[in-house]
Amino acid sequence: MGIDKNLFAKITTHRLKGQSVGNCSWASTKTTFFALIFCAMFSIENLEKGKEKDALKEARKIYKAWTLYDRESAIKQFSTFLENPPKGYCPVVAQSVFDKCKEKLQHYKRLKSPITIEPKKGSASLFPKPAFMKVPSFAAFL
Amino acid sequence: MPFIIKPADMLCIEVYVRSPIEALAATDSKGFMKFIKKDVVTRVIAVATPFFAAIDVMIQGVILAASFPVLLCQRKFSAIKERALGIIPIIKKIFTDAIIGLYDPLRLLPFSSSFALSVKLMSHRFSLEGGEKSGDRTISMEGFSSKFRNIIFDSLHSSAANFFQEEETKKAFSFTDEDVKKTLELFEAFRDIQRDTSKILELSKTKPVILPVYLKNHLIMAAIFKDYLIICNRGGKIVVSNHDQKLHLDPGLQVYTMIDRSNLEEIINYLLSKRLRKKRHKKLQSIFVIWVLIRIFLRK
Repeated sequence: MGIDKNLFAKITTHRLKGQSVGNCSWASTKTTFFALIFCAMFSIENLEKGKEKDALKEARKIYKAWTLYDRESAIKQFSTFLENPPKGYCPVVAQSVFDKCKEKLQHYKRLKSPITIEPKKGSASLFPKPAFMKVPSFAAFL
Repeated sequence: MPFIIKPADMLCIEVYVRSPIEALAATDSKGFMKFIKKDVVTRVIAVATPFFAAIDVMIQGVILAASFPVLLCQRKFSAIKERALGIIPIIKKIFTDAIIGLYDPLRLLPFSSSFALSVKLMSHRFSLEGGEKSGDRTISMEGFSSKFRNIIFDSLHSSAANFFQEEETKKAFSFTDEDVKKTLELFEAFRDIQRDTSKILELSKTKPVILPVYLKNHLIMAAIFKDYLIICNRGGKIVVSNHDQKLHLDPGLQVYTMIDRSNLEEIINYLLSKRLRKKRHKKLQSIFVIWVLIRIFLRK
């Protein structure tokens, strides 16, 4: 049993730049947020069929503003690791990654979205907290 | 030498020392982790985590066996099935824990896993390539184990939540608080990845359902919502083929509409079948993990 092109009709392809490095798990997940913004437009505004292309255009504006916002806030939050590195953090690696990302951010800003949202302080963290393993309490009896 | 484990010691063991393979690679001659303080007894923990999970399975098995005759007499077959299925996630967890340790080179690095993951999140965000060296270890900027899918999602979700809750965003796109709430609710689709076709069919009537589709060395995502099938791909032009059927996917979003929603089941089954490629590979990994566990016990 295969997938048959007659089962569905293509409405549109909204082209985005292909990934240039091996980060498909990130890039595809991020793109799914674009799809979800598109779904949200249908869900919230009760758009009719046939308006998909317009909805995609609107969703793209939001998506583009968000991706720039996301990178800017990541840079902001990551810089705190440099100022005050938590236990188990390697300052040399952190600095090197930070410098490369900052350089890339300039590139992304040049291709900037028409709407730029400045990240505010006090937002939710984009990075995992140091994880601790919970061991069952009866381990103490070993 | 007998180990005396104090509960206080156990509270501060990071996740990255819990796998047996790491214990093998990173313990010194006395069996202590090289990178962790010696007063934290990591050696026992490294072996004990799968051990306790195995005890869990046994306890569940005993409960099932004990309740089996009663349930059988009462002809509660669905309850038997439910309890039997309840053990599967625990068994999976043992292997997942072991496989993560085996599979993920992050855990062998001389710094904490949360740092390594933060670096990965940054490098993926900014499409960095190559690797960063720390001593004799290198952390690769590319590739992310699918085991950490939730970490990617959490990071993106936090970022999206921050973005939609900014007053500036609401103003720029004329969002009401209700719009923001609804949008963030839809983003929760990532927390509910389904593998069951009937559930996907049911859920997708009211909310988007996400399906990660594993291709050879590549991941694409499919979102199903009402009559829409949206393929999210960023990996250049690829061809998904099954027998004589071929789908050409350009990078970006491909939006399809179902000609008849009754066909959706077939489409979902096809997308889910893409996962099967990994199964044989996982079996081999499991065998290797068992071999590693045996080695650790023999070493003791």
